[in-house]
Amino acid sequence: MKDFIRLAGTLCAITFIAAALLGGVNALTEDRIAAAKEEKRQSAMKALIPEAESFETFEGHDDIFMGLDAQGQAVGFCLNTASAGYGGDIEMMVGINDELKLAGIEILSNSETPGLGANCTKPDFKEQFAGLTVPITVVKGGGANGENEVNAITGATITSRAVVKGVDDACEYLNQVLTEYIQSQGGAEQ
Amino acid sequence: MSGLLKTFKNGIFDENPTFVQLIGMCPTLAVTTSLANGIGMGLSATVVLTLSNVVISLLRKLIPSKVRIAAYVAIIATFVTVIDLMLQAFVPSLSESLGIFIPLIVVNCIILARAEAFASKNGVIKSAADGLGMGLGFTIALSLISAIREILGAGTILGFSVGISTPATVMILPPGGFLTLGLILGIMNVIKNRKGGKKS
Amino acid sequence: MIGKLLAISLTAIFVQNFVLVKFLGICPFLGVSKKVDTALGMGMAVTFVMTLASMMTWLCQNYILVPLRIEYMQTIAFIVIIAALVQFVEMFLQKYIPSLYSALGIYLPLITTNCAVLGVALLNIQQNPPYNLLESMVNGFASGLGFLLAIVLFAGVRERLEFSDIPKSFQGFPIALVSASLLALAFMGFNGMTFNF
Repeated sequence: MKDFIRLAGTLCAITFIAAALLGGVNALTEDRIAAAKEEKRQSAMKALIPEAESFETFEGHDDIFMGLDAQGQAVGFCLNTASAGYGGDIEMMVGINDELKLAGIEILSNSETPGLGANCTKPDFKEQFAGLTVPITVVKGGGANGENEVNAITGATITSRAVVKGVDDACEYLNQVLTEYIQSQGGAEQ
Repeated sequence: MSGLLKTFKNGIFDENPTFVQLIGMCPTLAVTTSLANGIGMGLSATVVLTLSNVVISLLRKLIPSKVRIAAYVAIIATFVTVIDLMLQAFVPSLSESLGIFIPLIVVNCIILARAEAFASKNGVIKSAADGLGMGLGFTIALSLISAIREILGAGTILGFSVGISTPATVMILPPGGFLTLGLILGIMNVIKNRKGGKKS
Repeated sequence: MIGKLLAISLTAIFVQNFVLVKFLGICPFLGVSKKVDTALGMGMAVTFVMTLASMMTWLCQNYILVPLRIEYMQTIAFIVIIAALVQFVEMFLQKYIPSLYSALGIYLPLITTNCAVLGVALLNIQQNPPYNLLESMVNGFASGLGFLLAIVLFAGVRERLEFSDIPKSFQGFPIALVSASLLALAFMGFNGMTFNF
């Protein structure tokens, strides 16, 4: 029995110290981790809608941000969304301009294969989205020139489709939220 | 002093965890898709290995042998979480690309193996040297594998192009991982056999 | 519901095979695959523990870590749960199902440090949309089956390698890794498949 207490006591002591240490490290790094994420989000939104001076969440939807210019006029929307890619979730920011067309996309985080799917963060792929409207079609092997088509990333069709699906879903979601909003405002604000 | 150096070098060459002992294979194959990932994983594991070796060596007389494995795992898991949080806070891009393989350092057999085989029997400074040596041996192995895979598979090194216009994508996919390690081990054996042949 | 569970299972076994695609559980895959019998034993033990571990860690995450806002204790909590679980399974089998214990017993202690078990636990709670308890368990079970399939296939290949004429420098591990590479290449055929039932 005495032996048992000694065994359990040692383990408890170790885990207690471990928990205290982790609590401390967490307290130190928590703000920093949140700040790093927020900073990344802000700079992505700024890149998508450069006219906007500030961003605020739209009508309590914490994944939709409305870009406001210096006069407080809405100049576009940014949606924070995620889509299942090849190696896990691809988190992205989808920008919509004041004509309700795509302003572009920014990839916030991904765990796709380096050199393949991870190329979704490269400008060659991202810049294709500007000016399109949904639904978007993915074209393999290059040569996308029809309306609302994007070229797939070489060797990473799954990633390309995942990003496009994320964009399509985000636009649909925004459309739904805006329609509801306009209805609730009695169509006064079109 | 020379003993310490010997312990340190032991991990890098004679008992290299990857090429000689063949342990810690999951991260060796999974994260070596780019050199940056390989180095990042190697150094993170080195830090955990050195710290856990030091603490386990310090506590080796206090931990009852019946629960030693559980105690070691708890100590290792603590350091892994510390590294995980630090990476998330200060190097978020690396933390993203290494993904779940950071928390999985806990079950990297190298760390538990060194705790059991070395740190639980040796003094603090020697254990630190052993952790550092083994960690660097692991880092060097990962760097070699990931450099080969990145050059052949993506045509880049640390993200800069090396002028291969159509890289063999399969090298950064899972089959390329097994193939690279298999061929490296085979070539090392060829060299060893040649040397041995000359001596005899 | 059944359709979704079937889709999770097929994806875990073939498309996202734990060993050959995700590179989890490589140590036992290389270490305990010299004979088909032992590979089968290891595979079954891992499947068993992965299913139970998926359940326990899901409960721990959703009823302890999240409510207390101590998600950062995840790694340490999960590994302790898995270590305790393996110990418990070992004692239980020894006492009540000795025949199963004599078949799986020697593999059990090795499973604590099998990264496939901790891996499935961590992946289960990272899903988007989140898995419920049943889906986590099915994913754990199917991922275990994927491990079983890979290790048994690989052991079959290695048994035949024993009788092949291989250059001296490539005998043993090097040729085994090259064979594993070909096996992984075969599994790439499932790449990108999605299931809708």
